[in-house]
Amino acid sequence: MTETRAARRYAGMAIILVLAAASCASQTRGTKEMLPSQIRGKFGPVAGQLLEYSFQETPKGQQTKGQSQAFKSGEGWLRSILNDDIRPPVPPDELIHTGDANTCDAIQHRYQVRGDLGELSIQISQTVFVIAVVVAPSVPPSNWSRDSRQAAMELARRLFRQPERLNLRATDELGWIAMGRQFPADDAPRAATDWLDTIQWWADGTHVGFFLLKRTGPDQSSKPSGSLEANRAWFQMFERPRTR
Amino acid sequence: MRRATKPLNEAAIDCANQKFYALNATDPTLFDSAGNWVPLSATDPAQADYRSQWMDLYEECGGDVEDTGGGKKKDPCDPVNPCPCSPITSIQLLSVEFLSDHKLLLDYTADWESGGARFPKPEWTPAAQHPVSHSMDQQVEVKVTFEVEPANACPETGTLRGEGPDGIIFEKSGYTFSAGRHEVSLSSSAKLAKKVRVLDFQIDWKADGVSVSSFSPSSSSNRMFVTYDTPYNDTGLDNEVTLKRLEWVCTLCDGDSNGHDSVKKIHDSTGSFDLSAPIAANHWDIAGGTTAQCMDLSKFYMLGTEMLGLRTGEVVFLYPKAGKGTKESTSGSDVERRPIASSTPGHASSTAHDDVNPNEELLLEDFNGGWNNFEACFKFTHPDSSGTSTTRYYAGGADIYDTAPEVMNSVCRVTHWTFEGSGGGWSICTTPGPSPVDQWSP
Repeated sequence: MTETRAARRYAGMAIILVLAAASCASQTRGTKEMLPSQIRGKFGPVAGQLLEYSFQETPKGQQTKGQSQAFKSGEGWLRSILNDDIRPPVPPDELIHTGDANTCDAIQHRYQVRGDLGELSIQISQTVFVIAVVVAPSVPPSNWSRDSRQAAMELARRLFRQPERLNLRATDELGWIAMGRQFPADDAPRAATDWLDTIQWWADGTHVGFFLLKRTGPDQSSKPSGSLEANRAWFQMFERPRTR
Repeated sequence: MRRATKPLNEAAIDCANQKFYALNATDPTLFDSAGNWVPLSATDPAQADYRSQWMDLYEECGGDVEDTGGGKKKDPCDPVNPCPCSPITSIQLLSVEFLSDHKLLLDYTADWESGGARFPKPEWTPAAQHPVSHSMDQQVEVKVTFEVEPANACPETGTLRGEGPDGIIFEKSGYTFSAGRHEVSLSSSAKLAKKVRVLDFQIDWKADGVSVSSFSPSSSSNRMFVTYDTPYNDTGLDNEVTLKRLEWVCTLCDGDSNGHDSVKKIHDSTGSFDLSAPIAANHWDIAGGTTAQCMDLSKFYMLGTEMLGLRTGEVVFLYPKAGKGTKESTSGSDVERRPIASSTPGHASSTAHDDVNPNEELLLEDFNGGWNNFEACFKFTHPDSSGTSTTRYYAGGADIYDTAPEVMNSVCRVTHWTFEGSGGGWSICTTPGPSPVDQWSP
């Protein structure tokens, strides 16, 4: 075994341990170790932050109206983008991060599904415009450490609706982590761009992550952004009038 | 063949004679040279019509007549005598079909999706009663089917009458109730009131002036949804008239006679604004409380309004313009743009703002800090309660306004130029700006 491959395997095991520890925690769950900071920055400020937040389990009865509405909205997105057998169980565990001056209001779902890739641990975090999906198979397929793009494609096809449109390519590599994004069809009109066209991915041999924006295609009234100022406040939007 | 029942009615004979000879005063064969009446022959075939006319008049004057069994001479060797007819003993109500309904209503109620089958006709039978959708300010046309019993019932002439809600009457006088099955088409005497309604449309049926006046069962009953006009759809979106949808919108707007009142109720009663909601897969889910972006809310207001038969609305997109202007468009891709290569102030030649998109777009930031391209509205023109044609903007994410600039003034706090990044997200152009482009409100 080469030193590089050994290092990759060690790192992968470490991440599995982090996830396992996180899934046992009942109150505060963070995933700070999931991506090194130099990688997180490559996906934009909010996408990187989403993997760092400490989310609090917040049962429905303890949620504010805004938090509850954010979960309804977020679950609507999961129905729109995920295949039916990948969606969270009902009722889902609901975790919340309340934003402050430097972070964003965010919600998170964590759950496992069992399928042809074995058991998958899935963690999906959302702000008003950004969705971050991290998937870890209990036993990563052996080819994942050799071909990260293939791993991302395999999982994306398993996770997302409209798999025929997926065209993920690798664009960068840092250490054992590979990164890339969706390349829309050349003839796709810019105005028709939707969430699938915004997918960015990363893979480290044991995990595959996806970041995407809540774009709905033509005639969208909101202007999705990965910037901090556009994503900071979400919960209050359901509680305050948006007019003067 | 008829004959006068014995004993003869002398008064009726005198009355019939008076009328008969008056009606036929120009026929010289009926009068002698002194002007006296010449009695009709009882057998002359040439006077058969006169005899029939006289019998009609005798009956009209109160004389009783009886059927002699067809007029053929009875074969003295035939042991069978024709049965004499009997009085009517019952009138069975078999069905009521609505001829003037919209013929669009589907029986699907499981959720807000479209589906199901058209309710079958007739809408009322003793075994099944189906709802009806109908336009206001229109006469109701029905076809009632009933059966007169017994099979040898004597024909009786009377008035077929149905009494509906709100004084609506269905009536046919001089109707002969003969034995057997009858189908009669009737139009209501009055129009339905000019109101959206959910009615229990019960019709009490009877036959006035015959041996048995009441029907069995005595009434038919159907739920009736009354709309402004025939449900309509020019949106290209699903707007099938399912029972769940029509019941929802008619119940919500029950009693309305003005379109603006109904649109306001639809606007105020449905799912609320959600800046980043996914695209609405079925806009009617919004009736059930699903939140949505403003363009989907506006489209739903239009669908609900068109379900009520109102046609004078459209979805419009209101964009801010630099200099605090407002642009109204029917396109959702009409945002204000500036070419990065020739912007004022100019971008540096090394700018990354045009890596993905050669244009920057004007962002509408609302009072919650939400990032928007536009504010979508359902723009509805209709006479108000005073009869004056009035246009109002029912904003998807805000209130109800009289003009497009009022909408923008209410929603827009600040505008910025934004450029598109490689991940499909937008960022504010602070350099070279200006940033903000316009501060609409502190």
